[in-house]
Amino acid sequence: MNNLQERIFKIIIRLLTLFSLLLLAFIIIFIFRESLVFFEVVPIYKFISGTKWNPLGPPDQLSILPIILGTVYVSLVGIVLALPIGVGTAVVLSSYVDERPKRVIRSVVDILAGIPSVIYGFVGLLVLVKFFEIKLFFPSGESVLAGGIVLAVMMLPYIISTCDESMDKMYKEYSQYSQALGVSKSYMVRKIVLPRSKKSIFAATVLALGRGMGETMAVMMVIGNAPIMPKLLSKTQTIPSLIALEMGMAEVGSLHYHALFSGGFVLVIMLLIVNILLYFIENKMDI
Amino acid sequence: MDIIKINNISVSYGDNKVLKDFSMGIKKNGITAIIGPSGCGKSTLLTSLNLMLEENGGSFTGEILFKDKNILSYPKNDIRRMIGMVFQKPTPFPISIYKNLTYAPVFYGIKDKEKLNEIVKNTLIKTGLYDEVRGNLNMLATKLSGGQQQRLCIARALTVEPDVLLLDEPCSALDIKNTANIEEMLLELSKEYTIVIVTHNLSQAKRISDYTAFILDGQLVEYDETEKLFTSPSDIRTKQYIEGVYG
Amino acid sequence: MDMDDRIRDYIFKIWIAFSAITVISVIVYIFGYIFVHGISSVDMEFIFSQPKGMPIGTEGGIFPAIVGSIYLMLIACLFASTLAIATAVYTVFYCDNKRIEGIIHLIVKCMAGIPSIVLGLFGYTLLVLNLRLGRSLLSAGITLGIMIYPYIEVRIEKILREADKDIIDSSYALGVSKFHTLFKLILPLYKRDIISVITLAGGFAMGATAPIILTGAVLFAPVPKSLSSPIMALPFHLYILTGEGISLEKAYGTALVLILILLIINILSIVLTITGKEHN
Repeated sequence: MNNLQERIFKIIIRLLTLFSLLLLAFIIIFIFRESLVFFEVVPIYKFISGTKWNPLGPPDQLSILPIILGTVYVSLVGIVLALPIGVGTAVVLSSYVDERPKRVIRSVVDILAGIPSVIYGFVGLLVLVKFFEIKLFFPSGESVLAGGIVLAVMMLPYIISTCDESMDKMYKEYSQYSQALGVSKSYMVRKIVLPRSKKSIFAATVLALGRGMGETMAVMMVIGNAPIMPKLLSKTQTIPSLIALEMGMAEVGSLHYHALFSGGFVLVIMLLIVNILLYFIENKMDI
Repeated sequence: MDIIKINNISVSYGDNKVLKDFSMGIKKNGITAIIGPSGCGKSTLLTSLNLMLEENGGSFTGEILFKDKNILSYPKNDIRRMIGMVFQKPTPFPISIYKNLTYAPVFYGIKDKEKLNEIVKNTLIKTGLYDEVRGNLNMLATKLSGGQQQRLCIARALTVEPDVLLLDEPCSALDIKNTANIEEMLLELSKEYTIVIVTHNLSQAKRISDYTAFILDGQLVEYDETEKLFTSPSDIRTKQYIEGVYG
Repeated sequence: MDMDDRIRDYIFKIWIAFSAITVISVIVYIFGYIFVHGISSVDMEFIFSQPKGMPIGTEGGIFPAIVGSIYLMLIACLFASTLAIATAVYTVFYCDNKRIEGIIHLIVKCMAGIPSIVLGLFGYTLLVLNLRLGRSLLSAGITLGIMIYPYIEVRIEKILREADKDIIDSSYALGVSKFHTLFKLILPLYKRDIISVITLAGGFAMGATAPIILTGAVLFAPVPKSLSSPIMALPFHLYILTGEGISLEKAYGTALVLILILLIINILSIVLTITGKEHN
């Protein structure tokens, strides 16, 4: 009886696990299959090197270089803004705050990570974009910069929690010895905690970059969604927002429909590279 | 008559050989003590007997007979039911005392409430816990004192009616009074069960065991009646160990 | 410290202080902004009535969206936690091959990295079109489930891995099977932590928009009657109200309700973890 139960359970667990893992293969295969139809008409190198996106025009006007660049640009702006602030906050949290308030702040940061992206987009649109237009007289508040700032806020919790975790360990390990030498706290943090957290800072950067490139709603609501070569202060387009905006309109089976899948495919490849990189950083790299 | 026969086993964890060509027999009923310095393979020997070895990533060659049948020919859970084990650190499940004791019987298919109550009562009486906890059976087992926790773990091992009880330094975390309690209880239990106890404490082995085995570097140096081994050991190494040379 | 280093120390201190203050201000600002602007549009009527007006949403409430979001969360949690618990149990208790374990971790990590809009695309082709589930509660719920699967798996695996090894050994030593050990001992013991993780993941699912745009969320629908009905959801509703410029006032209200529900979920999850610790 017990043996049978155990055996059946083992089979169910194995099947469910296998199914879960196959989901990744399914996702990639489905996206790839739908993209393939498009890549037979427009070769992939043309798709990612061409600069025109016009779903109503001829097939050779379906290419996404500006959109790829837009995706990367917005994320990079986000990283550049979020990294110093996130790392700085992690330093404060790990080395300057007592246990009790630390726990409270960590939960608040977790909650920040739980705010839906549509809320970030909403606040970004109503506050940031308006501010750019009304106070700074930008021709268009919807811009790479706006997208980058919104993304930066969204990246903060990831950067803070990844860095805080290792810095906290570092601080606890070394603070006693360091204090025994009579060295100031800030000196010790600068000379020991920060340099030894390089690895986690790098991991946080890659993680946040991946999040940023894949983000849809928050970015879509503040960048204006124009498929042109990205400039810091003008409108742009990213792959996720392109898909979200146009998929509903694209006729199922049309070239436009398949082109959007191809966009998704390119995005997945870009992100898989980023994630595999992250995996190796966490497991192999030893800085 | 030997209830367990160990014939030329070698045990290793990966590349690390812990027991080498090891043989010994364990007599039915009574207490067999296993002594030896740290790292000599005492605990490994115990875990080989109920196949817990493989859960810890070890493996053995050679054969172990239980009631004259190879232990590998029994289903694994049968072997573990018949050869119970109590660990060094008390490991009560963080559930109620009652549930600790019904946990395994329920697994073996006993559903009848009266029967379960009886098992709980009997095992508690056998381990001398009954009077101490009878009114508190729903209390969390982790709230018991260290000595009580260990006795509960022994009671828990008894709930599945084993033939053999393996104890891995069961008193090392306890004070003198609790140790005395448990020793007294083991003497009582040895009338019904075969008890194998690994211990660091030589006077404990002397006090309670009928037979004592001395192991050094994964090999059986001497195995004899306790009385004989402690008074006139035949091997010089045994003598040295008893006199405290190996520490 | 020499002069240069003193200046560096000073700059360092300004930097970290500035960072912390910025983060705290941003958090306070976002919550404050939505609360201040949203509070005036949230009342009983807003919460408990259907959207009305022309275009729809300019008047009335968001009741179907609240219910829709809760349903979506439940389906996503059910789907994801079944698979995630199975994967975690397999890797911790059954898989004895380090290589396979490594591969599982890599796959889960890659899944976590797939952007939600691509999951939306996947749900759209596989569930909506190929399996003919249509744009529905079920399609959207499963898509969200795929999204939160890695999140739950990683955390439950961590809980199981850190489970007391001595207790598990004691159970095996009684001859008790893995199945019984898991269901009668380990899972009940850590159920609060596990539920806490699932609840938190449910919150993420509830707040996500991208996966449901293509798979089930619509501008207007009544409270769903079956798994195959299209649904309204709070984040999508918020997006439509803002993006289409339907009603800013209602958008603020929707944002506030969404944030409050998620806050409740978060607090619930924290309470579960804390009481779980006390319990053990």
